[in-house]
Amino acid sequence: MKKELFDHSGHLTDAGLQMLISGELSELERFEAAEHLSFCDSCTLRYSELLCGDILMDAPDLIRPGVFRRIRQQARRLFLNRYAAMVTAAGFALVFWVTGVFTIGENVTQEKWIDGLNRSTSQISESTSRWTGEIADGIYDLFHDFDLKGVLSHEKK
Amino acid sequence: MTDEKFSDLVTCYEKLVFTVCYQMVRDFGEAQNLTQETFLAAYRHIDDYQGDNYKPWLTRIAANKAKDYLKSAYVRRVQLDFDSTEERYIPLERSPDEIYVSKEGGEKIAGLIRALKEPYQKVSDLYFLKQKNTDEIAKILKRPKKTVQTQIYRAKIILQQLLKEGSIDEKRII
Repeated sequence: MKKELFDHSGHLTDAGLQMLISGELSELERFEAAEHLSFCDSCTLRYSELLCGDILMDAPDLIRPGVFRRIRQQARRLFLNRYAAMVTAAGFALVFWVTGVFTIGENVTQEKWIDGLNRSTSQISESTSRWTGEIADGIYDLFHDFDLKGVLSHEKK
Repeated sequence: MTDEKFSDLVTCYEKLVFTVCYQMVRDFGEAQNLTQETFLAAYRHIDDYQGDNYKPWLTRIAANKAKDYLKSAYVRRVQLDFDSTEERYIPLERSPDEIYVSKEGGEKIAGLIRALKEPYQKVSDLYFLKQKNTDEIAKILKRPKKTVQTQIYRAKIILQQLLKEGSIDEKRII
């Protein structure tokens, strides 16, 4: 007869934890155990105390470099997203400012507004390519001298 | 925590986290991936952690990651199972007050619920028989609301299977 995974109060039994460690649980039972451990302090503590000595498996060598590679990727993505959002916002602000979109209804005729829009489109295009170049240079410089500690501590903040 | 200290933490607990992940998912490659995700999550939240015992904290994060993985695998499989059969004794998407239970069918369902094991027995009793909502159940049982919701979902599936095995007429139950 199979031992119970949970007791009547809904906590994992000692036998249940042993079955989890020895691989005797089905996929659904492992899911139930993981679900319970994700919120129950006392069972998590009991389970973690059982994990010592020979029970612990050797972690693959790839884990540690993999963790730091993913941390770097995440920091890079956050950095790029942040500056892309800033550039987009600045671009919109410039479009609205140059075209006078906020004052079109009062003093500006439709012809003038269209002229302004055409003129500003070329200006924006030039500005955008200049900014893109500057940002690309900045990003290149940043990653050229990429210092994990500096960038990551910055992103954490 | 500085990155050097975090690196030491990874070195110190990578065996533990990998073991937890492997014991949960029983797949070497996925355990490796979940171990990395655990440390990524730990890195993001380590400055908010107030305690000094990282072992249960990392165990919990790893269990959480494994739970998410096993949940998506379970949901995919259950959906496939249901797609392949037309029988639905208790609609999964309906709330209990929408489910009409006849007297005879209701008694049978109550019997089945009382015979359920934890972690489904109390949840099902409160939800189907005492008509409590998920917020109330989460409060009573001190379980996260999301956990209660998924446990009710799974309890419905278990009850459906039990009813199917018991050959109870669908019209009497729904």
